[in-house]
Amino acid sequence: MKRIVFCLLIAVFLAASVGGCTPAATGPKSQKVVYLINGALGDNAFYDSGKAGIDAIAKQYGVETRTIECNFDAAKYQPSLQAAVDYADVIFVISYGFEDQLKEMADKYPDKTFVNIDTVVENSKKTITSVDYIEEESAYLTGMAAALATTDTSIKNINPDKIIGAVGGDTDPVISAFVFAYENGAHSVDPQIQVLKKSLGGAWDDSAKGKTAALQLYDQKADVVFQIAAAAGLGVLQAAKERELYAIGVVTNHYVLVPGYVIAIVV
Amino acid sequence: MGKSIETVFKTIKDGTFKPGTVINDGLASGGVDIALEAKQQVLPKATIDKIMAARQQIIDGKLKVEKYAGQDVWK
Repeated sequence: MKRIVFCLLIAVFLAASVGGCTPAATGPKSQKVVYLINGALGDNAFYDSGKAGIDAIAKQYGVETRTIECNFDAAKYQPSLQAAVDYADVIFVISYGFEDQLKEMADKYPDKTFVNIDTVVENSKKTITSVDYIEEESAYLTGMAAALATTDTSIKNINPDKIIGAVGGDTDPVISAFVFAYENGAHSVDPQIQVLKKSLGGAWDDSAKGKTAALQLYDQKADVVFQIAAAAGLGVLQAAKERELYAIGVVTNHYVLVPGYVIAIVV
Repeated sequence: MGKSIETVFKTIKDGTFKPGTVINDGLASGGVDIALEAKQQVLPKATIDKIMAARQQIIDGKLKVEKYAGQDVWK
């Protein structure tokens, strides 16, 4: 799958470079595009993937683009939103933590196009469009993977107990959806599989806490742990390596961090 | 996520973009996926084949994955 993703990336770049040689597409003239993120680039995952999309449309359509990073700093949300509407016609935004400011800004600038990514945000003038990922579909498949692993004692160090685990960064609806579908996917393989869960209560960047939670699950006979905990999830990977058991990651380079202990990745 | 941005921007350019809507982006549209190809592979090939078959069924709409609807999953 990694190869498929990689090929897709190549295809995107090829399409982008071919697109660059053809006349600009039809539709409204313009446009300046802002990519406004609550966090920061350089995560090799979520934010960087969005930036690749922004770069692709810049090449394909010849639009000017700008990335505005808030670096998880709440003081930057409002000025960043203002900078975005001052510069751009189209704003792709990841608005965790500043949904209300986004709604206000969209109501104030109804002629701007706002695309909110990964959550659903609705303003009173109904101008914001949201892209809502169906994370249940990928999480269901990871549940299958965990179930097929925990019931296969021919895999190194897999115990006879039908127990798997999950460590979430918090109990918010997105993480709960991952856990819900993970459990359903596991039960589609074997309804007797027990799924143990731990939330880190919002400690998304505390890898020591992530590691402790995972070690507890492994010690309760879980042999696969799904981590949906951002940077804290790295602790889960460390725990897997320490116990010589298995984890499911959320970023493709997790395979590289602890090779041999990651059975699948949600992308 | 990059793919979603490209897809949405295409609709903005061709005039089919609808403000104020929710776009559901799953396996079929490429918004989410599973990656199973590691250099150091843990899962046997038969297992990977099973997961990939289910993945295809979801894409084809033959397997419906239940959406989360607020249940307490942390018990």
